[in-house]
Amino acid sequence: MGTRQGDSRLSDDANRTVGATDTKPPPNVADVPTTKMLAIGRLTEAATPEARGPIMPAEVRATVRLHLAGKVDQWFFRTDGSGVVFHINTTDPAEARSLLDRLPLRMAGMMEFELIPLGPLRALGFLLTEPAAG
Amino acid sequence: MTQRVMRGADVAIYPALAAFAAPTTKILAIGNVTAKGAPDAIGAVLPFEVRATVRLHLAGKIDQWFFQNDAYGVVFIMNCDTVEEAHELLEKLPLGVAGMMEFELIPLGPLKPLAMLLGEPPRS
Repeated sequence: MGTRQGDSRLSDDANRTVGATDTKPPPNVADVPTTKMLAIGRLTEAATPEARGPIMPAEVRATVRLHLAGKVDQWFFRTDGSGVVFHINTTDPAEARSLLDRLPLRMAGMMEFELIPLGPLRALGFLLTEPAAG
Repeated sequence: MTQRVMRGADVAIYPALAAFAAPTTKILAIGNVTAKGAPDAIGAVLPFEVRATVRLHLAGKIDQWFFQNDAYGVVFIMNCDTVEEAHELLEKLPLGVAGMMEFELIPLGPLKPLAMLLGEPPRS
């Protein structure tokens, strides 16, 4: 089954636990490049409302600066209040990690990010075969 | 005056965020292949899966779609207000029906902390 372990995958350096790690792409569709990084941020237990309150004004400004720098492409709030989701304009997980590590909540140990490299929807390649004649 | 100087780090600003409701406007769907989705099994389903996915895009339900290069999964951003609606749509996809893919669903909305920047502009 798809055993994505809730806690382990959210820790910074955890190897993501994916259900079928031995799954290899079927042939006959071309590989796709990584074009951006999905960053899923989760507030840690240290991030009580009282603790993160004084940091939030700096956090939101740092986030807007990353957007203005062209690094944070899309930003979302997790409406259950557990954190944020960003699309980051980099193909390098290390660069994304470096950018996120400098955010005030991150520096205070109040936010953890999971990074997922994203690319074009590979399966669209299945639509590229020529239609059958007749 | 002191209060004005400290405004950038004023705790009192933070509770003001509570006044802003953050509606759920999108659902982030992270799909990963299950153990049933072995390469030889999934290959036959994918041509159907991609067509059903494109239909969901054409219906305005899947807003953005991505491939996970390191996990052989997908990531969708869906135009749904509820996790339940997204789940209902995704479980009908061929891979979902076959038990070959599972989705984690995360409700998303506008970046609520931006509201903290909405104070009156500084007077010159």
